[in-house]
Amino acid sequence: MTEQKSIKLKVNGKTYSAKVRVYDTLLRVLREEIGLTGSKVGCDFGGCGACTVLVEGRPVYSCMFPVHYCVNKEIITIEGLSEKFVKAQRLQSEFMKNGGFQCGYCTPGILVSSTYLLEKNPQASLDDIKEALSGNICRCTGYGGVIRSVLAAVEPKSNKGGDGP
Amino acid sequence: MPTDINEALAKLSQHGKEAKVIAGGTGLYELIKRNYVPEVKYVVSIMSLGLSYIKQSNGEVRMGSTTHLQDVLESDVAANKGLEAISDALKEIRPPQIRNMATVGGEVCISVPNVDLPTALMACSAELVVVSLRGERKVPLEEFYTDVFLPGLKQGEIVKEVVLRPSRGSSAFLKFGRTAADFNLVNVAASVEVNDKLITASKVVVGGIDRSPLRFRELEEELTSKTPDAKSIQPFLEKRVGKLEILPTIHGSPEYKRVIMPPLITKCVTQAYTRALKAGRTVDDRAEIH
Repeated sequence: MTEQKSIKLKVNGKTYSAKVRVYDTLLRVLREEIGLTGSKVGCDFGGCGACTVLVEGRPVYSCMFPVHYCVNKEIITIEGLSEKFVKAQRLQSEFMKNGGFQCGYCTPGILVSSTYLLEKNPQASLDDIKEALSGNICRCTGYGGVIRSVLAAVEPKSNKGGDGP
Repeated sequence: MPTDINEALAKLSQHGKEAKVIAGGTGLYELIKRNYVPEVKYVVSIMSLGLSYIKQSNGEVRMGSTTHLQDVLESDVAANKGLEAISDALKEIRPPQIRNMATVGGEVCISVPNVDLPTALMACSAELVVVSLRGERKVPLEEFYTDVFLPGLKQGEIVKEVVLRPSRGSSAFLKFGRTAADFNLVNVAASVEVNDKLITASKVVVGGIDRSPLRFRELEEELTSKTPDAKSIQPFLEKRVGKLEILPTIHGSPEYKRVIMPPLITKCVTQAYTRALKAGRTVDDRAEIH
């Protein structure tokens, strides 16, 4: 399986051409061929979530996502997240304020998963947050800080004053 | 990556044992990376064959093999009478990253004891449509499994779709795992039909304890013509599970599973029954109004 092929990938709005092997993962190509190292290699078996990216707007584990499935699909990584989604900027600042990370290795994946959640459901509940982050492991914070940070970025349910969000 | 089903089937039969079908990729990737399948030289993707669909017509629900689990969860498949267990099971398949990649066909064909969807599908009497260059055949899911990693597929065959039929009853699915996002230790799905508060027919399927989901026919017989009562079902099960040979998995020993099974199965049967009663009541109420 050492045969190589050149394919074009659309990542964060830009088109890259990359050399890929027959059975290659999106994560390896992003990091080693394209040079976007924000998505992390954690378990490399689809269990920890550090490599989470959006493919066609949905979060997937890039460490096990076949890169050949990504042709003509829109890929958003942590590098392009805040440019694409306003919610990501808000989340980033809440993570800074609320102690949402310690070593930071899991943070790119957690930001991708929580941005996806809040874009889809701006008024997410605690349970929604836990469900959305069930695929992202953090070994430092014990999740308290992570959940606080995401909750702080959730829009309030009712707005009695009518001042807009 | 073939784009036509005949092309895919031709490639499969051409390369025989050296070729493996890949759908979402969550299963085969790990096996290849761990070098568990050194004989595989060709990976034939079925993702571009147009098998990602959910069609509902003529009293049948047909789910294409490469439909992502998340798409089934977001669809109204489980709104059909009797198919409630399907969405119960899909909700328990975590995390969302996996639901966005894993497919219906992949979940059925990987044939490992600790996946959830097959247990629910079996309780809902699912049928598979299998294709090869020789044509199509239908197989009830119940007769599909041979062993771990060994679904009942001959060389050159792929599962094209999973067919479900709404029933007169209701169903439920429950899972017990180490954490909410983990594989199951034991899972159970039950579907029951109820008439005048008594169970007329039932199917109880338990996963995680044998090489493929196992039907609990003794319990089904026990439930017939009765109103399920936790006080009698649980002791009944406690007696039976002692005799069962249970597969030890990395997630739990047979002894542990024997403790978990009776309350879990009891709860699942009760839940399916309660749903059936509720659904029945709605129909009765409507009848009274008119």
